[in-house]
Amino acid sequence: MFVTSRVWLIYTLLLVMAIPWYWRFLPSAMTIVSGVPAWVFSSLLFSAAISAYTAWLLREPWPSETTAEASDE
Amino acid sequence: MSDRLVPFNTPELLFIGCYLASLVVIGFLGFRARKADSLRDFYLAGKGIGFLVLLLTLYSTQYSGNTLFGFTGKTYRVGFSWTMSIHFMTAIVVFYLLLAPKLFRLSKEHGFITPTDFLQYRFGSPILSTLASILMVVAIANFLLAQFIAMGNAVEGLTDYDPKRAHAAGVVVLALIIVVYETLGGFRAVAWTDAIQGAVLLAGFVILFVLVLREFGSIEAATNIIIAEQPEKVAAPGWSKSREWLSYVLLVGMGGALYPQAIQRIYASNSASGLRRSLCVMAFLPLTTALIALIVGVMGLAHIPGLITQHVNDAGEIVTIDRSDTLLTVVCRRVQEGSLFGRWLVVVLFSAILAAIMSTADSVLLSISSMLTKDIYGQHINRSASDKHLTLVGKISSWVLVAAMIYLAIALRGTTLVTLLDRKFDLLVQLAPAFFLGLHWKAMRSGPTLAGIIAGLTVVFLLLALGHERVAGFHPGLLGLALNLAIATLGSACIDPRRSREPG
Repeated sequence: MFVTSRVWLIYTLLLVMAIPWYWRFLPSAMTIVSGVPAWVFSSLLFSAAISAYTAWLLREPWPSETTAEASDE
Repeated sequence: MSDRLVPFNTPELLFIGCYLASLVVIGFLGFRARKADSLRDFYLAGKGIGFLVLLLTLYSTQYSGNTLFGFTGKTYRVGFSWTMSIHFMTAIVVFYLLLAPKLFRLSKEHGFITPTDFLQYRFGSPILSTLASILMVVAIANFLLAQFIAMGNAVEGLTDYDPKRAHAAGVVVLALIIVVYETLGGFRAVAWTDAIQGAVLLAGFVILFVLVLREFGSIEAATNIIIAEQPEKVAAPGWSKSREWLSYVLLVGMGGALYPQAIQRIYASNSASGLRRSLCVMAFLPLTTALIALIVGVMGLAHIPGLITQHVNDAGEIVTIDRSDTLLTVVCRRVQEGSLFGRWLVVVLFSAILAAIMSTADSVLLSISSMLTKDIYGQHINRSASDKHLTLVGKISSWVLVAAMIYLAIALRGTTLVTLLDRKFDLLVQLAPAFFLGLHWKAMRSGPTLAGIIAGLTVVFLLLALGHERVAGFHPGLLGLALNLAIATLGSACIDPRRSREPG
C-alpha cells in the first residue's frame, strides 16, 4: 500500500529539500532563524514535513486490519 | 574541567538501586505472566504486546547510549552539520513502511519468530537464511559489546574508586541484571522493562533539554558564539558533505529498519493497528531526541571549549586528544555542582542513560539468542529438538553470550568501537533487497539474491580493507548495495517468473 511511485516521489522531493545542498548558493544561509542558521531551520522544517507525511500515510488502516475486523464480525 | 560526575551519595545510589531492582521485579512478573514454555512465548511474548508497550520498546531499543553520548559528541566535533542525525533517525521509520504491513501479516499467518524465518518462507533457501542469520548476529553482536562497554564507562565515571575495578563491576552487575530478567521473562520482560526504560529515557531527554537551557542560556547566543569562533561548524554543507548526508540517510534508514530486534518487534505486535499507531508516533520522536542531542552538542561547542586539544609529542608529531564524547558528563558535572536540585536532576538523567544502554542491550541479546537457537542450533545441529528444549537452549545461550561479552567488555575497556559500530549498517544493509524487494516483487529469486548479498559484502570488505571509509561521500555499504541490487534484480529478471514464489 505504501509502494506507489507517488509516495516515494514525494519522499524523494522532501529529502532533496531536507538536505541543505542548495543553501550554499543563498546569501541568507547564515541568517539566524529561531536561534539557528536558516539552513538548519529549513532542514528541520523539512524533517518535520517527512514525519508529518509518514504519520499521514499511517492514518489509514492496513488491509490486514480491515480483514481482521471483518472476520471478527 | 572534569569529565567525571560528582560521585553519588547514599540516597542517590539508593534511587539508582531501586530503579535497577524494579527491572528484576518486572522480569519476575514476566515470568509469572508466561503462557507456555515455547519459543514464541519466550521470544515474542506469545500473542504479542499492545500499542503503548510496543511504542516504548521500539523507542528505547532504537535510541541507545550512543544517541546520548555519541550524538552530542559528534555535534561537538562537526557542528550543525550533524542535523543529518534527525533525518536518518526519521528515515528508519520511513523504511518501516516498506516492511511492516506485509511482514506483520505474514508473521501472524506463518508464525515467524526470527527475522530469517521470513527469508526461509519467501525464498526456501537454507543457505540464504543461514547467511542472513550469521550476518545479523555478527552485525549486532558488536553493537551488544559496545553497550556492555558503555555500561562499564557509565559506572566508572560515577565513583571515586579504582576506575578499572569500577568499570568491571559496572559491566558485571548491569549485565547480570539484564540476563536475569531476560531469562525469567523472555521478550515479555524485555518489552515491559523497555517500556519503563523508554519512559525514563523520554523524561531524561526533556530534563537534559531544560538543564542545558538553564545552564547555558539561549540557543541563539550559542549559535552566535560558534559563528564568531568556529564558523566552519555553522556553514551550510557543500556538495561533498551533502552526499554524506544522503549516504547516512539511506544507510542508517535501511539498516536501522533491518535491525533483527526491530523486525521482531513487528512480529510481536498483537495488532496491526497497534503497530501502525506506534510507527505514527515514532515518526516524530527524532524531533524530540536526536534534536535535543544536537542542541546539547551545540551548547557544549559554544560554552565548553577544550574537549578537543592538540599537542606535540616527543617525536615532534601533532597528537590530537579528543574527549568530545564526554561532553554530556561534563555538562552533568556542571549541573551537579550548581545546586542540590541539579544533583537530583542528574540522578534521573543518569537513570535515563542506564535505561538507554540497558534497553538496547537486552533487546539485542534476546535477538541474538533467538537466531543462534532457532536458526543455527534448531536448523543445523538438532533439527528434532522440541520447543521446550529450544527455549532452554535459548536461555543457556544468553548466559554464555553474556559471559563472553562481559569478558570482552572488561578486556577492551578504554578502546573505542565507533568505527566497528559504523560497520554494522554496512553489513545489515546488504539484506535490504532480500527483505524489501522480497516482500514486494514476486519475481525475486533466491539464487541472484544470495549472489547479490555475497557480492555486496565483498565490495564492503574490499573497500574497508583498502582503507576507504567513504567513496565520494558514500559509505562502502551503499556501494556494495548498488552491486547487490543490480545482481539480485537483473538475475531475478532473467529467471522464468513462473518458477518464483508468491510473497503474499
